[in-house]
Amino acid sequence: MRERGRSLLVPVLAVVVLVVVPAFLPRFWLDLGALSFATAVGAVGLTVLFGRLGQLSLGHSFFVAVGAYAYIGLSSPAGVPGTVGLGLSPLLAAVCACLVAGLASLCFSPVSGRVKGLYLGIATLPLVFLGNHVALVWQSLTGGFSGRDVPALAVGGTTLVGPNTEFVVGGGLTITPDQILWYFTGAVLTIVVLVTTVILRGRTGRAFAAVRASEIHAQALGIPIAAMRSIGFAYAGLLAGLAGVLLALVDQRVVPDFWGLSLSLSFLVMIILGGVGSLPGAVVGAAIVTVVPPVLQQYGGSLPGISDPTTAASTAQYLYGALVIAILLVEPGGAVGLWSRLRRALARRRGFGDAAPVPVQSAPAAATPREVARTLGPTVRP
Amino acid sequence: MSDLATILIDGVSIGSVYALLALGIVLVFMVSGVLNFAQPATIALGAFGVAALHQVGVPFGFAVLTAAAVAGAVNAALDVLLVQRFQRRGEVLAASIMTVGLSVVLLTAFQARIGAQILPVGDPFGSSVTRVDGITIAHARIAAVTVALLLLGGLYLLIRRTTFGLHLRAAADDREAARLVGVHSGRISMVVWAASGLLAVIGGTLLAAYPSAGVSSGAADIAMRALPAALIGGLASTSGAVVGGLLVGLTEATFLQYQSSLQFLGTGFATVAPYAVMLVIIVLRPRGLLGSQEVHRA
Repeated sequence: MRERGRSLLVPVLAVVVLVVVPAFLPRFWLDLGALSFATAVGAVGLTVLFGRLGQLSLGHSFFVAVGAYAYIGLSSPAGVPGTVGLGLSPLLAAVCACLVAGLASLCFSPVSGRVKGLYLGIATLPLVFLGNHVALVWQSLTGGFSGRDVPALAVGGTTLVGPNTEFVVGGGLTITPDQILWYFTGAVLTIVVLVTTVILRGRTGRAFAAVRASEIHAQALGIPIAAMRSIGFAYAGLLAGLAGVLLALVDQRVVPDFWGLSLSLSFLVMIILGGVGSLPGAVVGAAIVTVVPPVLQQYGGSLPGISDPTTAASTAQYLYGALVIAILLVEPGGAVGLWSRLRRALARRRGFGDAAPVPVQSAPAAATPREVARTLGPTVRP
Repeated sequence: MSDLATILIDGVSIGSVYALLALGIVLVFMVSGVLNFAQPATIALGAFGVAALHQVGVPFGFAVLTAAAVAGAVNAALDVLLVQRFQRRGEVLAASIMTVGLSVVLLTAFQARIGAQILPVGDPFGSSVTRVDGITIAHARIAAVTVALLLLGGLYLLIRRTTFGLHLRAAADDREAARLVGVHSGRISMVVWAASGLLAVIGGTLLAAYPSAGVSSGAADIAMRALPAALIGGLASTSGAVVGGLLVGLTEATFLQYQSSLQFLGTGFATVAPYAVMLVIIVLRPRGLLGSQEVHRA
C-alpha cells in the first residue's frame, strides 16, 4: 500500500474479478463470494483493531450479532404479535444497525480504553457468552434457538437484495439475485477498504500506530491513548455490525448459534492467515476461511474422510489451526508477507536485485505486516 | 440459612476446581509471559481422555494418571518446541496468538470425538451424596475440594518453600536477571507448562464428575470459565487465581440456587453469570482484583 510506484496489477485484477467474473460463475461460487465479501468487512475491522492498534478482541462476533439483530429488529414489519419489528425502510434500518453496533462498542470503552493488548481479548469474552445467552432468551427479537428470517433489502418497494429479484438489463442480459448479492457485498467491501485506507493513512491511523508501538511515546506526543483505543474498538465494532447486516442479508435466516466464540476465533484466524494489519490480507484471509470448508465438502468427496459437512468443517479447522501456528513461526506476514517475499524473489531472479526498493522503516503507520506481527501490541522485549 | 449453606458448599467446591484451572493459566503466564488460550481446550480434551480410557475399562486412577502424563508431556513439548522458540525471538505476543491456533485444533479434535455423547469419567464416588440438615453434599464434590486443596497447598509449598520455587519466582520476576544468576529458566518454563497440563486434566475430570453427567460437548464452554477466573483475580497472581476461581464458583452457585426467582434473566443465566461478574470487575479494576504492577510485565 505504501509503494507509490507499485504496479496497478493487483487493483485492476481485483476490479475485473469483482465486476466481470460473476457473469460466468455458477450459483455455488456466487454465494461463496458474497459470503466472503460480507465476512471480509468484519475482518477488516479486526485487523485495524489488532494489527494497527494492537488491541485484541475476542468479542468481535458479538458486535456482528448486534448488527444483524438490529437490522432484523428495525426492518421487520411492525405490529406482528410476539416479534420485535419497527417497520423501518430496510436501507435506513441497515444504516441504523451499523450505528447501533458502533454505539454498542463505544459503550464498551470503559473497558476497551483501559485494558490493553491480550487482556482485552479475555475482557471481551463475556460479550460473546452473554450475547449468546441474550440471543437465545430474547425470542421476540431473535426467534430463539431456531432463528428468524431476515427481511430483504428494498428501496421504495423494489427489492434490491433478496430472493426473487431479477433485473433485466436489456439485450437479453439478466442479473440473478445471487449476482446482485455479489455486487452489493463486493461494492460495500470496496468502500470499506477505501475508507479504512484513508483513515489509516491519516492522523488517526498514525495515532493508532504510535499507541501500538509505545504507549509512553504516544503519550509524550499528546495522543489521548484511551480515546484512541475506544475509537479503534468502536470502528471495529461498526464494521462488525456492517458485516452482521451483510451476513444476515446473504444467509436470509440467522440462528443464535452462529455468533459463538468460534466465529470470533475464525475472524482472528482470517487476519492472521492474510497478514495481521494488512487490509488486503484481511480480505484474502476472509476468503480462505469462508471458501475452504464448502469447497472441501463439494469437491473433496474423493479425499478420505471428507464426505459430509461436519468432517469437511473439522478438516478445515485443523488446517486453519495448523496454518496459524506455522504462519506465526515462519512468516508472520501471512499471505501478504508470502506474496511480497515471492515478488522480491522474482525481481531478484530477473536481475533487478539492485533496483528492488529497500523497505523504509521510518514511518510507523506504514509498517509491513511482518513488522506489525513482530511488535504486535504492548510487548516489552527482553 | 440452608440456601446460604448450599451456595457456600457448592460454590466453594466447584470454585476450588476453577481455581486449579485458572492456576494453570496464571503459572504459565507468570513464567513465560504467554497467555495460554488453549488451556480450556486442554481441559476439555483431558477430561475426554479420562472418559475414553474409562470406556475401554481402564481403572479410574490409572486413567487420570495416564491422561495427566500425556497432557503434561504434550504441554512440555509445546513449550520447548514452540513457545521457547518464539521467546528467543522476543515474540511473546505471537506465542500467545499461536495458542489461539492451537486452541482451534484442540477444540475441533474434542468436538469431533465427543459428538453428541455424554461420557462418564468413571470416578469411584458415582452419584452418592450425604445429607446434613437438609443440605445435600455430593461425595464427588467433597473429593473435588479435597484434591483441589491438596494440589493448591502442594503448589504453595513448592513455590514458597523449595529451591525450585525460588527459581520459579525469580524467572517470573525477571527472566533475564534470573538467567544471569544461573536459573535455568527454560527448564522451569517446561516444568510449569507440564504442570498446567496436569492441572487441566485433573481439573477437567473433577468438573465432569457428579452432579455433572459427564463429559459432553458443553465441557469446552465450562472449561472456558478458567479464563475469567484467571483474569478476575489478576493474571500474574497465584492467589488471584484462587480468589478468581472461588468467585466464579460462588457466582455460579448463587445464580443456580435462586434460578426460580431470577427467571427474568432467562433460563440458564447461571452458566453465563460468571462473565457478568467478570465484566463488572474489569470495569472497576481493569487489572483484576489482586493484579498490580505485575501485569505490566507482559
